[in-house]
Amino acid sequence: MQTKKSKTLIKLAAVVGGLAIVVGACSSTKSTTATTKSGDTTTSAAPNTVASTTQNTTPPEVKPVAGGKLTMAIEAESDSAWTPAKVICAISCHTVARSVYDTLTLVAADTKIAPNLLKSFTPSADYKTWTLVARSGVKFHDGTPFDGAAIADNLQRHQKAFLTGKAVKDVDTVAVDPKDPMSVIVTMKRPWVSFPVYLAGQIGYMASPTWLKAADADATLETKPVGTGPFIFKEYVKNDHFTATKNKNYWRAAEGYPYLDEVTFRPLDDSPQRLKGVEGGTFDITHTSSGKEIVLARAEKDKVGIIETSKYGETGYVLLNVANEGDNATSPILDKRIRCGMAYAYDNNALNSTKYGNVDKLANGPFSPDQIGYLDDTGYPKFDVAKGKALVDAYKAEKGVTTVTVKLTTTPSPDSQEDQTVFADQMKQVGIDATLDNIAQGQYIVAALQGKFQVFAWRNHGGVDPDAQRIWWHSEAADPLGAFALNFGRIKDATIDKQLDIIRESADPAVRKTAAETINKTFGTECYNLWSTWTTWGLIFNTKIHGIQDYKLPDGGEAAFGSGIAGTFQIAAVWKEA
Amino acid sequence: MKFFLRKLVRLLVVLFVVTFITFISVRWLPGDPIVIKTGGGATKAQVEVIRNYYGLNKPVLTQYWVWLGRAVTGDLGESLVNPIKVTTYLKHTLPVSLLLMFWAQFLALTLAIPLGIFTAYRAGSNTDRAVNTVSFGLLSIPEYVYAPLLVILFAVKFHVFRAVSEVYVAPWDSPYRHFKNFFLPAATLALVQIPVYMRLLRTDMVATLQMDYITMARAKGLSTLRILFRHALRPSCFSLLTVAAVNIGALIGGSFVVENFFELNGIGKTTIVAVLDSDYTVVQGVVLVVAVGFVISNFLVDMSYSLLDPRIRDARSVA
Repeated sequence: MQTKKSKTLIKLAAVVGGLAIVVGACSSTKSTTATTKSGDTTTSAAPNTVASTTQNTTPPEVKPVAGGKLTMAIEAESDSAWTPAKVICAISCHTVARSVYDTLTLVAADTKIAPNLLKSFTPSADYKTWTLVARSGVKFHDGTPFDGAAIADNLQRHQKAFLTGKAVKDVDTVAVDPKDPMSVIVTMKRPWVSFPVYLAGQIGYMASPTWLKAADADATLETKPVGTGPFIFKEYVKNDHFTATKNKNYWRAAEGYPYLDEVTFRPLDDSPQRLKGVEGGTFDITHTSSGKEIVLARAEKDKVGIIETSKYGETGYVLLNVANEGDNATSPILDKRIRCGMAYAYDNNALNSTKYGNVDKLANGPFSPDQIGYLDDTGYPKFDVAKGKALVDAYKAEKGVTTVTVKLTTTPSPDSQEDQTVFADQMKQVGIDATLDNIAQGQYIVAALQGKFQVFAWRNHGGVDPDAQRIWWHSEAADPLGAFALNFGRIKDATIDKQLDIIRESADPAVRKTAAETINKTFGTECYNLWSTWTTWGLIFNTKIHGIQDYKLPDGGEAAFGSGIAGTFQIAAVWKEA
Repeated sequence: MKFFLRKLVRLLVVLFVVTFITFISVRWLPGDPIVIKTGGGATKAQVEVIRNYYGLNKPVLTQYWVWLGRAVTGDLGESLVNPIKVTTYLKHTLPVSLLLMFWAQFLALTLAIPLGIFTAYRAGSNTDRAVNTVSFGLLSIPEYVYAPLLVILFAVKFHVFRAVSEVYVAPWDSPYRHFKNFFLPAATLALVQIPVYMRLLRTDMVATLQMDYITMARAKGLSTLRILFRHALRPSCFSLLTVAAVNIGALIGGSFVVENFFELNGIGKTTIVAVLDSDYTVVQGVVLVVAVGFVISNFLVDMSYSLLDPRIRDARSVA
């Protein structure tokens, strides 16, 4: 369930990951019981693991070499179209998309937001209006100029989009500044301080308006993206490969970008196969969040390089349905004692220290150590069977029941089934009977959206800014059971809502940090979810590949690795030894 | 002519039955392609609008007739999840699967025919017994066991072939790379077929070699090779040919496993992804093409009987 990600899990990542606009809140399910330790930053291994991380920055004395073809095996295919407003973007999708698209902004190494395709972005004093100014001299691959009209067209399409539309619902109007064709005025329904963060992700990918218009008339063109990016789309064969060739007229060509002549991305959901492909020379690079493969790659250090990162990555957890309505109204999970009893019983180190190679860090909340809102102690129960049993017994005594049953549902993959049984054994220790169920892949996400589950395995909540989590936790996204809601667990917590509003509207970093920490504590004390691990991603590559961590901001300075999305990188900066 | 007409009618009936059953059964699949298409972001009402657009709210029989009407004109529709025509999927994946099956059959027959002949000729000998024992063993092992074994041996240990295939390379573009990508998948499929073909041919050959005209040929002093290949092989091929044709179905089934294991982008892999996405139109299109291919290949085998045996040709012409 955790290591060999099944197609289901990747699909889930893809489906809900489309809302990961804020740089990387892509989700997929993860083991309920499995977790791991360690794997912390991009360049150093965590203290409790075998050190194995390879530095992949180019030393100043080495000059990158232009040319060559690179093939990357990615963990998932992206569904729907390749238009920014429609593509259902899991983690892999961002590396592919960045080959042909540029974003309006970028996340800098210090997590500040820097201009990319934009020359500048300026808020009004109340943060209810943002002025975006396009960088001049940039053209799309089809020759269409990049200007205010292009930005407006792209953002307006997001407003109308099914998925990304939910993320920009606080955007009121988008219009080209009548006084300056390179500027766009975006007005908000409420102050929105972190709006530029969204422009560093899917919302910020700029596609040619000429192409988008043509694709409106002929949907098959939607799979042939036209952006301003370092590579020009060449060929796309669904479920097989996406190939793009060097954009010789790239607006950052003077900086040497891109170095490669051609890039090909191959979706392979089987993590061991991807690793074998790199070792055997079929692929130049791959990525994985599988602890098993990361451990294997560490052991092959002489053959392959590996960069491990958990920065701004997702959290694996057990998602609980707390909707107080319909069939769920009688669920014992609505009682905090049961939720916290489960949390006390849930030993997230059990499988991770054995089956999953201690690669990840154990989670105590939704925010990982690199994210705003992280706390060493969130108040989340630490593994303690006696305390868990006491809570469950108190519940049983009060309700006059002798048994408490919860239903854990996962996908039918062998790993999931194995982990399920460990979870059930742990729950048994505190007097909770966990019945096990699995549902087919295509149904899993539908069940989550409709709230038709009691306990689900899940993974989500990556990103550099806590505002990214609004769509997953705010009660405004907790539609009734049966309707599609992105607040899958139907959490309706006034404290969380209030803090999310503060995070959206406040420009004071300290206030935002406090708000995020309050959310973290609320999750900890209310036990809304059972936290498993903070995901560590491994980028595994053949030793002739360089520059994975080298991407620079256009106006100087270092970009955040993966531009804030763990498991990704900027392909423009990568080069290959001849 | 009557023979052709009969075959044609049978072909149409088979296609009708297969496509109808598939059409009904894929709609029982859990999941919703429109939810996947919209990334879960659409409201229920919006999903209904899209469902209406694709005609998915109409009765299943109506949907089938609409689909059939378009299919006979060559329009297999568009994927429900991706803006890609089904014919585009087929354009990319069909050559991969056809080549995989061709190489698998080629490998299987190339090895099975000489072995079958040889063991028939040496029937009862130690060699015959040894080959038969090995073939029993091979017969009992499925593709999904061969695949990892071959990978461990030839890709991981000796680095001769690829564990995971590259992006498809046509044989006319680079025979060497094509061979490197296709050998292990084809061998995986072939290993299951070899013992079947070999044992069938052996049995028929043993019977043929006891016929009077073979004794006559020997008496006339014809060489063993000439007797075996020229006079005994042809009439011994009926069972082999029939099974080889029927086995196309098994090969298609096997290719689903093998394509996924070796990451070859053929119709098997496409079908699995489409089933997981409940992408009805893609499943339907692939099944139609597979059914047509299967029926036509069996038809061609029927035709070849008359080429192999003049008595059948005569009988058909009389009929």
